[in-house]
Amino acid sequence: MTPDLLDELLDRSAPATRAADPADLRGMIRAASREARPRRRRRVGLAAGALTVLLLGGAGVATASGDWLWSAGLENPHRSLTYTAPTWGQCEIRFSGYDTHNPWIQADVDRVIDEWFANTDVEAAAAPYVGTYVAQFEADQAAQAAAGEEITDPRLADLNAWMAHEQALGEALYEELKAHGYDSTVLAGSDAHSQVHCDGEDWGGEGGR
Amino acid sequence: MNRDDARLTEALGAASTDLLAYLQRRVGLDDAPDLLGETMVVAWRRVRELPAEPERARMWLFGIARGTVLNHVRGERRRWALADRIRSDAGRDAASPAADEGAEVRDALARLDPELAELVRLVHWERFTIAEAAEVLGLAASTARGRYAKAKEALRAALGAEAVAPRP
Repeated sequence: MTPDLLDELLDRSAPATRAADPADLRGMIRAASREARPRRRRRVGLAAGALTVLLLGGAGVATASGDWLWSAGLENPHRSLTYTAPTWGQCEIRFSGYDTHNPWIQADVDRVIDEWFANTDVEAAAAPYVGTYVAQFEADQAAQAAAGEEITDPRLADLNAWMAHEQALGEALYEELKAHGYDSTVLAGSDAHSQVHCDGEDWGGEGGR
Repeated sequence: MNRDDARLTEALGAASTDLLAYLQRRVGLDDAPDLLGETMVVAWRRVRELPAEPERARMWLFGIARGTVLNHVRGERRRWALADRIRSDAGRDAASPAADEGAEVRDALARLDPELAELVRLVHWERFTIAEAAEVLGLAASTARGRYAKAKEALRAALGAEAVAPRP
């Protein structure tokens, strides 16, 4: 293919970059590894607050759990989404999958879900929905404040981020299922749940808001 | 260190310079080191998903880096102490173009649909093939080729058809 002037202009339009010391980059690789590891140990060893939320059925119902271990049905580390919360640091949301109560489609629904998590950049897939949800929550909370019922919980931004990511994950996964013929009509009556853990999470003394 | 950890260490070691450059081109020199740290942490947490083939592993890492850029656009921030050292590595690369060179082209790119613009940036700034860029963006290669052609057509129109007409 003969390069044209536009190709040359595009090639030359790349913004300036600045190389880093290779030793600093190697140090960051090791630091990132250390940062990622403690969470894996803590999951099986320490008690901490955690929430389980029903993904289906609207806004979701939170129930407290006194155990850091992932809840039943959330043992699969591949069905997860990670994000950075405003103050709680790195968070991971795990998704149970759908219990369709229909033996004729259950295995295929599981396959679609597993293949989606395995082959998709889940964070990127959920990203377009996250901002929309955060904006919705903040608008609702602003309206509530205007009505004289301002929420003063300092964790509000982290809770918004959690709910936004969780619902965004549900939306992105639902689009995939729908593309395979499993729309809301087919999935009606299905059960699903998810759980979030964050490095610096603070659920307060009541296990939830 | 188990086998997966060793493979990811190698993949990150091979790609980290290019990942940093990619992030610098997307979010600027100041924020890029923090996003590189984020990218590495996410990669470690998903180490069991690391593709076996080195080139696919590289694309996988760029896909994760793209996710951190999208988070950054939404305003999520996290500062890394180690990133300060990388931020302070000033003046190590004199090969990059002047900051204002290509500003008109970058403006035209910014006015494209974001997915089209990112496809063009991956091809011309990161030097990916269209198939590689497709993998980073989660597109079929054939879809990416069509979109790339459409993007260049739009850029030609935006920049002035005569100035950037294909050579005979």
